[in-house]
Order: sequence, then C-alpha cells, then structure tokens
Amino acid sequence: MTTLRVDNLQQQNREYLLPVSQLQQRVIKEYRQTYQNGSWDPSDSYAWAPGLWVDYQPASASSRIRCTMTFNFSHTNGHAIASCVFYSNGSTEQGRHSIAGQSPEYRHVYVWEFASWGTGKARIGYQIRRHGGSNIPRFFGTHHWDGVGSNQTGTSQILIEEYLPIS
Amino acid sequence: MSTLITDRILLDPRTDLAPTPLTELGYRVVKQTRANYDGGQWNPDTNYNWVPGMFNDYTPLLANSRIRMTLMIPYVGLNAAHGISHWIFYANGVEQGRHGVSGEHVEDQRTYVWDVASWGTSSARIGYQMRAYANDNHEIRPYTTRYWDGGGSQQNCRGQYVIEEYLAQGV
Repeated sequence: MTTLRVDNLQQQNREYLLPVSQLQQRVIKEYRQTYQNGSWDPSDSYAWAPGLWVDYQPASASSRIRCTMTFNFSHTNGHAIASCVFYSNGSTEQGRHSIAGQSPEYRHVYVWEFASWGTGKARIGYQIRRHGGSNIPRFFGTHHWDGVGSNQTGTSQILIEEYLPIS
Repeated sequence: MSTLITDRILLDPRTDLAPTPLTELGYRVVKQTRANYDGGQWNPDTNYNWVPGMFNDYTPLLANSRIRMTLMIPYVGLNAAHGISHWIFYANGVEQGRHGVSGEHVEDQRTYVWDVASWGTSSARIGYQMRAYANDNHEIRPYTTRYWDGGGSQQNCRGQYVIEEYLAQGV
C-alpha cells in the first residue's frame, strides 16, 4: 500500500487544477430497483408498500444516504387519502405525510436524505395505509386512461446513493 | 502547494482495475449544507414570507460554480376543499421562478429541485417565499396533515433541504 500526498491533480494539456480537497464528497455505493407488478390498494393497517422499500446494508457508518423514489398515485372513487411514514434502519421514522386529492392521478418524486445507521442491513422505505373503506387511494396504477376508466400498470423506482459528505 | 500532472490515477489498490481518468473527476461537489425542519405547521397569510425551513443564507465557496437546492416539503389544503397558494423561489435576491400549489382536498409532499449559477462568494439568501390565496381560507399550509389514520388529525411533518455547490470542469 502506498500513499501519495499531493494538493492538486492536473490533467495533461488542460489548464485547470483539481484540488484533492474538492474530491471529498463521493458516492461509495448505489442501489436501484424497479417495480412493475401492478397497482396496490393499501389496507387500513400500515404495511410496507410493495416496491417502495429495500433491505439495505450501508458501506460505511459515516456516510449519508439519499433515497429517491418515484411512483404513480391514483384513486378508486374520487377523494383518495393515504397516510405515509418513511423509515430508515427498519424502525427509525424520518418523517410522515399524507398523499391525498380529489380524483388525483399523477407521478411524483420523493427524496429522503439521512445519516447512515452503521453497516448492518436494515430496511429503508415507506409504510402506508389508506384512510378507510371510502376515500381509497391506488398506488402504481391509473383510474382513467385513453378516454375511459382503465387501470394501467405503473412503474415505480428506487435509487439509493450512499455518499461520503464533505467534512 | 504540490501538483501532480497526469492523465489518470489508480484509486483502488487492486491491480486489475483500470486507472481513473482525471476527466471523470471533473464533476465534483465543493460545498454542501443541509437542514431538517421539525417545527410543525406554518400558517401563511396573504403576504409573501420566507417559508421556515425552506431557505438558507448561503455563502458560495466559488464564483464559477453552480448551486443545486433540493427541497422536500409536505403540505395540506385547509379550511376549504380547494387549497390555493403561490410560491416564488429566489437566489441572491433574484427570482428564479414561480408556481402555484393548489388542488381539491390536496395533501402531499413534494420534492423541488432548483439549479442556479453562483452569485459570487458573499452570503445571500436562497429559498422559497410563499403566500396563501386568502388568509385561513382556501389555504395551503406546510408541514401538517388534515386526515390521518382514518380520522381528521394534524400531524407534524418534516421538511428538508440539501444544497450542493458543484463544479463540472472538463465534463
């Protein structure tokens, strides 16, 4: 093992210097998954939303983890309401919010960022429940499509970027 | 001050890996700051105000960088089914853009990303100002909910932002 200590790097035939101090922040592990198993109507109890969780093992205990999720949200009978709680390390709540609307159909991006919990494997993701037997939300699908009522299969994605931050 | 002039460097001690071209290190984050907001709901009025937890008095490290601000904000429509609000994003006192957040029975959390050029190396504010359509009527209120767990319940919701100042030389 050898270590070269230097302040700057410079590409041959290029003018700009690359200070080594500016290379502190770097992605050290990445994970992604795609979910295309059709729509999901949550129940009255909190459950891990299919496709919106991952059992992740951080590469470092001193990193930060950025979890980007994108998915479709729709309804079954007009006013749809869902309660959503996002967890890291299996049971550490990072935050909670509703997703609701009158006849909503759209696709959003949610980005959560938090500190690594260590190097043990644990779950990251959303637990979600519906409001009740009415106001039913539909995840990963559609309600109206091509001029009629039609539930199309949506595509959900998770991208995890674990990075070492600038100290 | 020492400078190593080269085309590529081997960042990994394993000899079966190809050296990394320096050009692939040109995109780099040079400064970062972040914050969570857990102060609970914020009640806007009909004047534009800085949204708590959605701004930062930021001093860029460099004058030739770009600054990317990613903001995660939850909100709800209150006091009428139709919630309406107006949002303007500023950097260094300069409006970067404006948009509404409205809807029927709207409750959600959105992630917004703004990318702006550095304004120099002096401190200036970057973030959102917003106002309600009407005070406590047809209102969008950040950081809370209206319905929760099958009933009507206002939960405290977390806001979050990350600022990444970056260079993209040679990329």
